[in-house]
Amino acid sequence: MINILFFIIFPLLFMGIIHRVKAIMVGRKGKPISQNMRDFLKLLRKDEVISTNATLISRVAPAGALAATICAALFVPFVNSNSVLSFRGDYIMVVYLLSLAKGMMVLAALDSGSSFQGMGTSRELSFTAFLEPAFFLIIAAIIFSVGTGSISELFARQSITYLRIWDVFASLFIAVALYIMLLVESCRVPFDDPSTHLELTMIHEVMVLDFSGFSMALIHYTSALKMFIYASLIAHLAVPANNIWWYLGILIFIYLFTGVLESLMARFRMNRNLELVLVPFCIALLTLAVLLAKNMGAW
Amino acid sequence: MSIGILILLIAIVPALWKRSGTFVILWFLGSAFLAFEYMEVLYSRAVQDYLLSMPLPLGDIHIGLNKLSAFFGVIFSLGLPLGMLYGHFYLKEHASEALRSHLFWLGIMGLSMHGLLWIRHSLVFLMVWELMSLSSFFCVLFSKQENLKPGLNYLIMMQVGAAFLIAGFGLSYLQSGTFNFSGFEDMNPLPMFLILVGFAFKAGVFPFASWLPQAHPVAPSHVSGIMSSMLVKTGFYGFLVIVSANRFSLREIIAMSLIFCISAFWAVSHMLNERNLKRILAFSTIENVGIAGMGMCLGLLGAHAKLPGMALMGFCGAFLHIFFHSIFKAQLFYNSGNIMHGGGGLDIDNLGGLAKKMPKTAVFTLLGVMTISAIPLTNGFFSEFNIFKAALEASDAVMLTHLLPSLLILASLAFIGALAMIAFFRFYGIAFLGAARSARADMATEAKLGLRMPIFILSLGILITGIFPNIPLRFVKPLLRWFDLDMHYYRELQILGLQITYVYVILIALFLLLYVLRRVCVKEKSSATWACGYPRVNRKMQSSSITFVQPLAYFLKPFMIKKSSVMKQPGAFPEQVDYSEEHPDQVWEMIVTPLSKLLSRMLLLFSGIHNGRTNSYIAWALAFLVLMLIWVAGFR
Repeated sequence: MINILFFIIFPLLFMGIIHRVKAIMVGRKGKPISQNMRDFLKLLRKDEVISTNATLISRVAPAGALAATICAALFVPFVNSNSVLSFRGDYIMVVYLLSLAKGMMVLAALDSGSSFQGMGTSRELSFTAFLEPAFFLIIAAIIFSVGTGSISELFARQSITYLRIWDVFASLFIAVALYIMLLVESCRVPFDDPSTHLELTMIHEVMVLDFSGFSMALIHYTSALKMFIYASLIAHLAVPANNIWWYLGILIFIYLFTGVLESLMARFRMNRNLELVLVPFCIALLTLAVLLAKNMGAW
Repeated sequence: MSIGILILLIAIVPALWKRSGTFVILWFLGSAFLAFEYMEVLYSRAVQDYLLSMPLPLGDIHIGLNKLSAFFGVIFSLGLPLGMLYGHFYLKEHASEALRSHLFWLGIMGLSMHGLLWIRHSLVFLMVWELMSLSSFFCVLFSKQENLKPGLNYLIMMQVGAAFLIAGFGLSYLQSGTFNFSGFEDMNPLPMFLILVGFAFKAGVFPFASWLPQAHPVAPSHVSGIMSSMLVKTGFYGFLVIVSANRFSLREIIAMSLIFCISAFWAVSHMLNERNLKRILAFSTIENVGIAGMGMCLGLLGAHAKLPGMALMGFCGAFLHIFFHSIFKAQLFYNSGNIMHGGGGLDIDNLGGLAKKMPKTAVFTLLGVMTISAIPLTNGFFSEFNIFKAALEASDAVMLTHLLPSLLILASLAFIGALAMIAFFRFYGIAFLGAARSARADMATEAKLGLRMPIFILSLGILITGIFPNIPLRFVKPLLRWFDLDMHYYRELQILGLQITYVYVILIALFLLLYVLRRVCVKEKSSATWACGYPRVNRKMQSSSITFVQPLAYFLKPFMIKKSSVMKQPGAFPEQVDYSEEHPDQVWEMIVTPLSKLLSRMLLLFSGIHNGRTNSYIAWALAFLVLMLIWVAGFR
């Protein structure tokens, strides 16, 4: 229950941290952390403008995407390391629920017939092609390290304990891979710039150009929740013994770090992006290879 | 043997009188009887076993059913009558004077598909196999001149496949001394390999699959639906017959998994570039056979590594995928028929905006697209779930040789699944969403009720088996037991299925809540799509099928051979530029065409023999007899 409350309230507040950090880094005061939440509530009360091309899909998709993402979040450990739902092999379900959400948004973007949105979807989808195998390999690596179970069990068991050097190694590597996935999936800076105002260079934001009002609120919330899911998974990897304060601290650190990263880095060239999206895949492969070698008794 | 087959035989009579309605009704009736019989074999101890004593070259012919053929039989007897029903309405729309022969061959094709499952004697099996190839060839032709080349290509490919089968069956006879399937147990590797290759031609596995993307697009939609969703499965049935009777060495299993991975990847890389809807679907058949094959390989690996959980989940995933694919691929092919008829073509770049003009077809197609991309709520998800789970179950394996192939399958299945999702969302987005891309698509009309009915039934099947995975699980249960797998893990899967249903209930409830909330709260205004300063978006400005995959095509360039041409008027400001690109099938271009050219050039060397003079023919015959005499005498 505490998990549900947690992931309902906090995703947008945590997004606020990034904005605040970015503002401070460039010397502005920045908007309050709760601003995203207020925007969300305001958008919920607004009416919508819908494209004349739009069909039922545009009307259904934001709700469907959010429902699927919430369902995925039910499997993910947040403050409480026991997730609301879990069964053996639910990680496959999580991956595919997230891809259901993405699929919904992709179709909704194509629905308006805008050339920009088509561009955005093709970019977003081509990232997926490399992220899905990466996620499965990450899961496989964790399974090698700690045995099978549900996603919450896996991430609770796999954590940094200083007694076992291999766990530290595996956790850190997987955390890096997951962090890059987080940046790609929630379209943060080196891959995409959410604050850009040129449609040609956008990815996620351009997909939702034609949405407004209530649907827009749902979409904002969906992407914040997705980022929150990844951040929470990373935090659980890095927390020793499921300590709540450590968990919260690392969660905040991830958002702070993302903010700092965004202020310090420029985005990458668009057509080279895909090569970098391969990085988590490679890291996962490497981790897996090393764990395999270890299990086979190489060391 | 059975009343069902008898009814199906009788169904040929109305076919000869062009009564397609009666033909379909008889097919439904016969299939119901047959389905009952198959179910009986599948679920009870009932046995269907006959021995037909024939003169010597044939010997005792064993006819009967086992759990495996009964499983495929149920799939056929559910799918075929629906295909015939769609065909009935489709043929009404596309009137042709060849109705009589088409219906006749359609009936023969269905009959021979059922017949294959009953016959357990390799020579008779081959005869029926040839009959099936021939009848499906005539179905593809549909008495259209332009269908002749792809149709003939299909027939020839099937003959080459049959040659492999003949060689394999012959060698197996030499080894075991019987033509019956009981002789397939513990075969030598050579005949086994030959038989597997022979079946691979039919099943559409990588180097032998070039006929699929050529024959499917030209065939009438009901035929391509039946062929792609069921006829191709007879090849897979052949694989399973061999797999169930033999033990494979680890090297063979790894080789097979590699072939299936390559096959699926090859197909998916073509799907991403294809513009013709039916060609996309044809390639997707190759991909799905590859996925089912990966499941089978995981099962074999699990059995080899003594991991009962992995073995069960792998086989279960493969069987479920075969079953589900027969539903959703048929659904998509019938939809493609409606799209072609209503929207005026199969080139997705000439469609667009169909969701408004054909709302019902759009919903059905969306469901099909979701299933084929293994999105939750549909049945395609559950079979891939099983295969993924089997691959991850390999973590308990002790030997690297078991681990690495399953990891390879895991990663490539995830990659292939994602690419297939992209390919199908591309198709759906471009064909159904946005604005119409051509004047013809602007005048698209919804398909008639009859054409939508079989699709509706299949869609219902997708949803039921998708949301309640325990129903299809129960369907494959006897088969899993027959394969001697550890049923303890089956119960685990059952619990998983139940949990998945609960998740779906939560998902649907959440969605409805949000959607109703939106309906209640929001007032909508309609306005043109925002176009960054242009007054309005015109249809040429939408993302096309080529631009959509451009980022991926940049990355996967080595796997996507492209032939592009630019036609430009001279001058600094050309008024018109034509760009076209084509993605030829590499196997066809590089292997099949040169090989057949070489073959015909070689045969040209012997054309001198054929000189038209009787006395020289007699001389050839005499020379042949003399040679035979020497050979026979030499052996004595």
